[in-house]
Amino acid sequence: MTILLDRGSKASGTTRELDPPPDLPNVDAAQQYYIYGSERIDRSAPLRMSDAEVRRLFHELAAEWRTRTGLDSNIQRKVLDRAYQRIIGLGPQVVPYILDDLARSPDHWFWALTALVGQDMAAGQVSVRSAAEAWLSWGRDVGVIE
Amino acid sequence: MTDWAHVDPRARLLTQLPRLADKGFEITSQATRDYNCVAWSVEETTQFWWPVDVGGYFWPTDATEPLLPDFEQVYADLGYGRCVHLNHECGADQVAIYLTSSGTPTHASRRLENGNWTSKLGDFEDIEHNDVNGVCCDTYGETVIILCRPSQPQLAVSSE
Repeated sequence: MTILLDRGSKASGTTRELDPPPDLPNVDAAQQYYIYGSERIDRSAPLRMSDAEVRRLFHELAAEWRTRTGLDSNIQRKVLDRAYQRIIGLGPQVVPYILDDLARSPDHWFWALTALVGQDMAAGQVSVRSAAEAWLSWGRDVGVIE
Repeated sequence: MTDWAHVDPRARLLTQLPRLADKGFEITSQATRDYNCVAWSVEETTQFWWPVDVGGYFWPTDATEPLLPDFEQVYADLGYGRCVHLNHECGADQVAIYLTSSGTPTHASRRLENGNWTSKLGDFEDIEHNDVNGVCCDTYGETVIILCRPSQPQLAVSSE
């Protein structure tokens, strides 16, 4: 039985057992891994990865994405690629590495950055270079990059 | 998966676009993301032309997704209309739009005065290819629509 915090009794600091919502999958407690595609993810691992791990994954996924979609002009197809989607899935921790990459060479990271930051800092820019500059300027302003 | 960054560009293109091996081609630029095939088809080299709702790209209409009628409208605004003959008509500019089997535009190329075609290949290089179908592939699709317009006079360069 899962122990869930009862929001209604938060003020009193007590917990009580709640039945899980009916739409949750029935996870076998004996199962050691979640299965994600071909990967097994250790259930006991913390959800937050180290910066070094995020950086490594970003570069690995970016190379995979470029190989698979480099021939494409279709931005929608580029950003729907599974490696690009996994980069977005790394969360805000990946933003500094995307900006570092953008500083080295402008690339199609604007969609991912907009999704991660929640705002298009290059709105209205009509070239890849000017959009990259807008994002880098934002990154410096907020201290994400130097 | 092959990391294209470490592969000779010509070998990479022959892998990605196998028909080029039979049809013939040459690489005519360095790889760049500054512009793409649609921009190159209208001789623009500072903007990446694609309909998408995020900053960094240029598109002449309000469209935010690639649809053939909108692509045709963009070219119509530049004087292009459907061309029934694939043969190189002297005095006519020609562009080709490539489509997937579901009719989504994927690529564009432009005919050169010598009758060959020039394509900017995504984030990679420009190439000159002998046959308009030379770049047909899984990514660009197998359907090609040809648009043409009366040849545009070159702007005179002032000598002042």
